[in-house]
Amino acid sequence: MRASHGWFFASLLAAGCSGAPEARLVPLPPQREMAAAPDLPYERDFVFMTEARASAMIVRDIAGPGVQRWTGQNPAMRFSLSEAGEWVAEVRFNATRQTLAETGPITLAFAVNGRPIGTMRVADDAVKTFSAPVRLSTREAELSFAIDKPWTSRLDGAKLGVLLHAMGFKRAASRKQP
Amino acid sequence: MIGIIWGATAAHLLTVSLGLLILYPLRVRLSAMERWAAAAACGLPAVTGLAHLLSAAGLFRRGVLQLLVAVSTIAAVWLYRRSAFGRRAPGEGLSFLPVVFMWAWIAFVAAGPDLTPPGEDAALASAHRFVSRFEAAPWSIGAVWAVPYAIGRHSAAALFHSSLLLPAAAPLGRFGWLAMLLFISHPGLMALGSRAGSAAAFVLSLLVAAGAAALALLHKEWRLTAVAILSAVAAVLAWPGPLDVFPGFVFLKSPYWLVPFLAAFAGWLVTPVKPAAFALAAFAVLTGAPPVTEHLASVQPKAAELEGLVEARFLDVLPPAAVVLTDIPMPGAWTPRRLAPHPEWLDEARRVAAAQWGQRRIQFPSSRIVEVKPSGFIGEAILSSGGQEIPRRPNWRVWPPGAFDGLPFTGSEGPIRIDTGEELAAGELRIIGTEGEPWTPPSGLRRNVVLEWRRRGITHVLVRDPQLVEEFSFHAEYWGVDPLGERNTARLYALR
Repeated sequence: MRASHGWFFASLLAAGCSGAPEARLVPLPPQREMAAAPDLPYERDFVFMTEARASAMIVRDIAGPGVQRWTGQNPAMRFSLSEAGEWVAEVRFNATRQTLAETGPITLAFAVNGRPIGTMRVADDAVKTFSAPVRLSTREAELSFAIDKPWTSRLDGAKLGVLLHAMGFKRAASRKQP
Repeated sequence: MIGIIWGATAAHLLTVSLGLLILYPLRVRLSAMERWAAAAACGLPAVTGLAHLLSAAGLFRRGVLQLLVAVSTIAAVWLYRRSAFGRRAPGEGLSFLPVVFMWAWIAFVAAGPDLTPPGEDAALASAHRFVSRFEAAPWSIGAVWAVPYAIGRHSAAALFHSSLLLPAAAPLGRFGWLAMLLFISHPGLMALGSRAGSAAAFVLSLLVAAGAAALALLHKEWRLTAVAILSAVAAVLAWPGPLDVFPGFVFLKSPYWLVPFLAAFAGWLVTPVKPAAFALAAFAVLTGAPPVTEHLASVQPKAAELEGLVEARFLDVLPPAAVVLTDIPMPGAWTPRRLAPHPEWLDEARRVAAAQWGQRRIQFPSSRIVEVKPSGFIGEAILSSGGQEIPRRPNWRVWPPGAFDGLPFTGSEGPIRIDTGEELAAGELRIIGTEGEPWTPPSGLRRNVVLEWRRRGITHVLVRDPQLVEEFSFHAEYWGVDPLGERNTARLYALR
């Protein structure tokens, strides 16, 4: 009697062990319609710091990762544009109240491939957008800016500039786009 | 509530019926309550072994466990159908008082929010590790806890008190009073009840004290033990100052399966050797003294060791119907809120934030089944022929499903297979994912991720990943999320 009980339990377990082979094809899932909604714009040559490709474009002085990245005194990013010609260089950033309290108003001097394209004075922590038209003779472009008075750490001498949100180049015609 | 009580009941049915099956061929003469106690003692190691066996076979599932409960219960009832219940041990009926109270209390607790003191979750965490296929030592209490957990799911408090110690110890008949002495009459527990506001523990203490007093009046040979129990009660009530320790940990740290054996042995020992009662009473008083209990099993260190506990408690601020998607590992038993079953859904938000989009085009020959093995993430797969997109039809069978739902952020890595059910002309498969030539996604991906989560029933996200925290904080308007608070560096957001 006990032996038959043992076989009964063993057969129960064995029955549970044998399963059907994994099905690799499934019915078509419900089809979703994308809802229209505002979002960060995605452009080939303009990069938000949250994007994965941003890190690969950094030349110097930009920490990461993050939606906003701290810059040093002279940050730069390199872009391989789709073509040479008329472009608008654009940088979106904000200074912080804490660093401005020690440095006072700062001035950012922007450049493309080392040639100055303009300056901006910053005295508050609001988000700022610098943009300037540029004419490029090559597809390779290095966009950079220099900060006249970076915040300097008393502990290790590290220099902090601004919080960078996005930078890059936009088509001259798309300058008005968000 | 029904699930929780059923989980605990089923676990006990399994334990006792397996124990009865083991005892049957031994033909030991026992009273009804003694047989129950012996069955619990034999059944606990058997359940542990069974749990490990099922887990190794990939069968540790609710349905399998319930089937085993049914089979073992029927087998035990059938084997014992003609057995007499045996003589009744003196005073054994009294031991049902705390059992009845405990079951009523379990129902009360199961109906309300889980207010288990944090440290008690150690056993549940152990159970969860076992259920989740993490390593659990064979002697870990988690293997036994895993049974009611797998059947009844959530509730730390109900399972803790119902699944092992009390029901295993209380029905021990004449031996049960020793288990009471060791556990229920523990000074620390009574202090917890009387001083810390736990009405349940306090009522339980009173029941034990009343039972002990009745025992002293009815049975001469038990007066010594009863006096020891009542002395322990008096000692606790006289203890100055608050207590924040829970003496149940003393048992959680011990090999759990020894408890019924030790209780039975102690019961046998006390009957012929009266000084043993004094020794056991001294043990209870000594281990129940707050400094000793604190040393043996402090609550705070355990709470700190349990990753995710603080965050789980944070979810108590949410409404009862909330469903939370989180990247913080935590057993579902730690929170009365529902946790989304797939934490990897957060990858959809990470993908959209990273914006690393690309597309590839692969030619395929005339065929009914299209199969390619591209590398990288696949968000959407679109078939076209002669320059025209082939509309998807309901009879298609596909893999992976996420690549065929119209949302580029859902999908996976691996091969693509499509069975269209009919011969297709040669054409092109366009794959949208993370590789290939640059692809500009449609606007609104962030919001659509959240809308898709809402469709799946998720109402809140709790995240610690810095990338997601920054995204949900700085781009909240694009995602459609509202920050609710922060705990232990984890941020909680409501989905609009």
